Amino acid sequence: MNRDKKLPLTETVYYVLLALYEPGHGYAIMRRVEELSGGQVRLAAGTMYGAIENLLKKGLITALESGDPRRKVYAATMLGREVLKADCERMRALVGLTDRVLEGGLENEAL
Amino acid sequence: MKRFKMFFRFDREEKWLEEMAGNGWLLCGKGLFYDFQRCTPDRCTIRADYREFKRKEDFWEYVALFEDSGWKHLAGTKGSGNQYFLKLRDSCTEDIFSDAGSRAGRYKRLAGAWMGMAVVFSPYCVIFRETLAGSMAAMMFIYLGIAAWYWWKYRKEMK
Repeated sequence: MNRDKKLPLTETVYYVLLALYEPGHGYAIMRRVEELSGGQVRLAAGTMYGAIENLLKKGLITALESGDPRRKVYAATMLGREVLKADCERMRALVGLTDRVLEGGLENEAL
Repeated sequence: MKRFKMFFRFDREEKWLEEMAGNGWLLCGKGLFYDFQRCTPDRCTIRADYREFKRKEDFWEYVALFEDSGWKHLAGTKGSGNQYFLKLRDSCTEDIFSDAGSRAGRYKRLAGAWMGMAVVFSPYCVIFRETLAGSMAAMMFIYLGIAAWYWWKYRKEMK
């Protein structure tokens, strides 16, 4: 598990990485995130640009050749996919733990 | 029509630009002065960002992203830093930032730019020891002060 300082991912970054399992350009990513989240998460342009810049710098996404010089196409890198899966595992563990605690199972163990 | 005004808070600058548009003047350029052209007076939403670009392709991509999501680029260039946008259609977001971190980021970039200016002036304080040094040192401290103000705004908005 990537328990270094890359985790936890912010919600914005998580959704962008998820959306970029398939290549897309900036605006396409924004639409895909809105779609994937059922309209719950709407990224704004300024936030999107900053997220792309950040993810490129960290090597979690990469730019692909694109016909349009004003709209670069991006895709998640192998590292990006690994980090996404690692964060998903982290959340899965948390969710499982929460269920157990709320059902009272962990109280006895902790004491 | 040109106007000179200084702002140290984005929200006040944005509100003023929206008021001007309400009075029939739409921002069309920003250098030392704000440039306006006549428009039909209308209530509108104008948002500001601060971002400088090293490559023109990055600047084009930035503008294209905003245009695609319904924001018209009113003023700003690759190196100007100040970028201004007008909300066009109803379907896009109300603001150009959708989380506190990225909204605060524009203050951080501004602080960095003013720090850069302060650094440019700092050698003059050492080299020139006559009357020039006084005003150069003052410039450096003013820039440092402005950078500190923007850094404080950044920290405040991050919460």
